Amino acid sequence: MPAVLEQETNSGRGRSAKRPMSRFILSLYGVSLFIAVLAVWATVAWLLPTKHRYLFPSPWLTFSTLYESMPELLVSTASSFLILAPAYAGAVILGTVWGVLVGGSERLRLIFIPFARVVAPVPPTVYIPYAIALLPTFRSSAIFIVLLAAFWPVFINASAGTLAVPEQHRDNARALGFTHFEYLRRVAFPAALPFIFNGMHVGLGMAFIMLTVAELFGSTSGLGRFVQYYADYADFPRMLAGILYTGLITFLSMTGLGLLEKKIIFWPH
Amino acid sequence: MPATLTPATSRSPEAGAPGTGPGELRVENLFFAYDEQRITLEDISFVVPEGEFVCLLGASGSGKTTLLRLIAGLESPGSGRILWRGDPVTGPSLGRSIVFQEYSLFPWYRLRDNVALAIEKARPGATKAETREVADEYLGMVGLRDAAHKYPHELSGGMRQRGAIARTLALGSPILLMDEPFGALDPANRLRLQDLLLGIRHGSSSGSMVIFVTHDVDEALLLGDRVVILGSTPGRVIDEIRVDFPRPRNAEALFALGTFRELRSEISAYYHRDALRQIDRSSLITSQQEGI
Repeated sequence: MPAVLEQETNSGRGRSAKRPMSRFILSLYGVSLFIAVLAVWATVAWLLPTKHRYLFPSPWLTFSTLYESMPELLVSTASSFLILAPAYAGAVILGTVWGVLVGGSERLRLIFIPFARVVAPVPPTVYIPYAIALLPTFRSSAIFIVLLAAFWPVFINASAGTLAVPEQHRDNARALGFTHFEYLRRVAFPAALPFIFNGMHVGLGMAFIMLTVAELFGSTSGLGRFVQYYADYADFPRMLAGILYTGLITFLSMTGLGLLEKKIIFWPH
Repeated sequence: MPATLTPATSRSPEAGAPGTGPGELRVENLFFAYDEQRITLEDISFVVPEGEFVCLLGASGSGKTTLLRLIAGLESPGSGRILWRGDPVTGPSLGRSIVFQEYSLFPWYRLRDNVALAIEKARPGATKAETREVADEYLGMVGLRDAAHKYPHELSGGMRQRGAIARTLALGSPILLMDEPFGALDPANRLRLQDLLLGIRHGSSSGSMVIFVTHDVDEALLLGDRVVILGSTPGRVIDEIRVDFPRPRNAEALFALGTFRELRSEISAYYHRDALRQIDRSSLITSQQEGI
């Protein structure tokens, strides 16, 4: 039975990929999914008795609150990005440099990969209370936590990508008499870029999760703090607006990273 | 022999070294196996004098690519040795540059920068502007000066191979190794590039040794001064044939020669005998296994 199911989905996928028209129709369904969710949301809010309307605000109330809260949300965004940007940049640079170095050397692999296997799977949330206790300011501890969370996926992917450099590129580098560092810089790093971007996508997701969680713990500003603050005061329209806004910012950041990837890796791979 | 007559080859480090022995590449009793069950190369011996264009002709399974990789220093022999000017080959060197069948260029560098990588190695002192200029000169030799700013994926397969040849020439190595460089091209493009290679060789005074791997009898006879014929499974030398057609050669004139056709059918016969022997043996093995 599962085999039959699999076959059916496979043939379905094959057909949709062949015809551009059905792809267009599928993306229309995708858009209408948003509209459907919005419609259900509006209907439920409208059907609820008036006394619950504040607990479950209508889309209209939520969006108008979002508009009203924009100045405060922009300040929160700036505050969050003051943590996110340095932490993520640090994670990408450290993860890439260290990952390519480790992936390119058998000796370093033998030392660091077992260590990474043990340490990387620890959920970074468990470090939060200690980091806040240990480091002088909330900002520094949040940067540390976010950096740690985004570092591992970048590091692991960068080293895997360096290990997976096609034989042909290695042979060419050897035939051209490249030194080890020339090889890493001019061949292994660009060849590993698709892997590195893969790690950067995962890392950015982790960074957003850790950022908002860290802000729930001890921040006085930021997007996660915004949501927590208005939840504490039972201002649910504002809280929902904060959730939607955070979702939008996350989506835009991910899209931006995707565009950057397309621009940087311009060759077929 | 007066010192002035010794060929001035290149500027790369190893090439400048005099070496301790005669100016030749010597392959001695070479054995190689990727795994224990199957021998890839069995007792290969031949000598290539400096400046000669030799073709290694063999069907698939003859280990011709492996042999070239061994000469390049990309693999190490199981036993036997390879001597260049009397010194054993122990690893890759700028003195032996190689063109692969495909993907010789790095896709993230422009054509000019790909060639510049070789020039930076061949002339370590050169400024950026000089390197660029020399890169464009070499690209000009293969008719790609106008495409210097393009990336490999913007070029056709033939253009990419021309670019790879330009990069190899830019290294200025006394030995050029070519692993079926035109094997992935359509026939018209292949003829064009064979012509280009003959032209470059005829026009230059560098006199590099070329070791050219191919499975195409016509190609071997068109390009080579000598053809080393390899048999299959395991790879071994069946015969060596001198090709004395006058140079400059071109495909059209050569294919019309009676002596060319004779030589070609002689080599083809060798080739076929070996292939038939393979088929006989393999069908024998399968029938035993299947118990028919």
